[in-house]
Amino acid sequence: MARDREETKIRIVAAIGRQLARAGFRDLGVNSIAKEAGVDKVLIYRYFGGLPELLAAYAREGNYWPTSAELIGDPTTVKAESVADWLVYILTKVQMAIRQRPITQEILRWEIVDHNELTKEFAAIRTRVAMECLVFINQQYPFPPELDTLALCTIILSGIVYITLRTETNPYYLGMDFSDPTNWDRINKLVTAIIYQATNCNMPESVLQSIDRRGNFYGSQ
Amino acid sequence: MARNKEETKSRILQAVGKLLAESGFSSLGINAIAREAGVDKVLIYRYFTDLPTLLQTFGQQGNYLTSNTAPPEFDKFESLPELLSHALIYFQKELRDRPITQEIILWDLLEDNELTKELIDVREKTRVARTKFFYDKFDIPADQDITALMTILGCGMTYLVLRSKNKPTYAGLDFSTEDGWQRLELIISKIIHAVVVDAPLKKVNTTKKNRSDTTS
Repeated sequence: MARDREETKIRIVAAIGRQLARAGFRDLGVNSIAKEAGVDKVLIYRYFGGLPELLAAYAREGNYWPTSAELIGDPTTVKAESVADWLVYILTKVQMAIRQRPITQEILRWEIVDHNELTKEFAAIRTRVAMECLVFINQQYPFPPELDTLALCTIILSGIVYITLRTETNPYYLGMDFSDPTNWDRINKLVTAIIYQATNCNMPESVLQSIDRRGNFYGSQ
Repeated sequence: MARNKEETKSRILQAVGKLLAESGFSSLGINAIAREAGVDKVLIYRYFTDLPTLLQTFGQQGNYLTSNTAPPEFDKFESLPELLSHALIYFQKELRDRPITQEIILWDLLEDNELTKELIDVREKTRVARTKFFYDKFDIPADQDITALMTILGCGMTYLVLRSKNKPTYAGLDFSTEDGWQRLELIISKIIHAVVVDAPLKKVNTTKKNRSDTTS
């Protein structure tokens, strides 16, 4: 019996992610979750108390956002020899995490319009992971003192998030068609150039093969 | 009589903004607009033909964006990085000053229908025209990707403006005070100066000529 209860709870929590990815946050409620999980909604109230508590339970699972350990990986095998190397490496992984996870994208949308147990926890998790990564990088290679590294990462990441969410409903932005991967490529080359230039780091050979230091992004390929 | 017509038109346009901000595009209809504006729906058809045309007209007026092309103050800049930095800060203030536009932009992320398209198109055209202005004014090298630059920074700005309505802080930055926006302005200027090489001005008369072209 106790096992049944745990199993049902897991089923209910898992239904949230599926429901978010398929129907979006606007249709998310106790009824739709119960239906998706195939359980009576009375069980949701009995096991969790209500929607806020259920969202909190889902939020704590946290697998809609990579951990700092996942983002940093095994530092001994990462070929990073400067602040910029590390920032580009981690920002690229974060970008993939956002672009490949429809559930994460839906929570990001939700977060813009609403305050609830899930979006609050999500914002807290992202901030914590970002800080852990920045502290780690700063220990490897100190940030340039005159640079507002936090603001730099914030504007870049915000740009990535918005392009991802916005081009999901309409692929065009400033004449670029983001259903075409070469346009994401342009953005990424530019971001790479920004990071190296703003931190005053030398670009490694591998990077110089696709962009040059003065900020010539796609012409020099 | 003529004055009444203008007044009615402006009431209708205001009703469009209010309804869009409140409940988005999917529930927007001629009847709801007529009710909100307190006018007979026949007048909406007479003055604006149909809903898509009404939305386009709404998109062209100042409550939505300040202007559909580069604003006149862009003319005075003689350095490309300075102009680009100014343009982004201008864009940020324009959006922050327009709560209804913010709400409407939000709906773009949530809905995809014929009507959202009308206003997305207005903004897309404005962006393209403003970007063209940079190219008309400066001789920008072909390998300097201004489009990608303005996209990533403009999108970043948009996201932070939208998000700050609900959540004033992002990581350690506080957008409930001018301090957070100030830090953002500084980093944007730093980024642009770091990656954009200043370009020579084009001849003045060509700039003027092309500028008037962009309004078409």
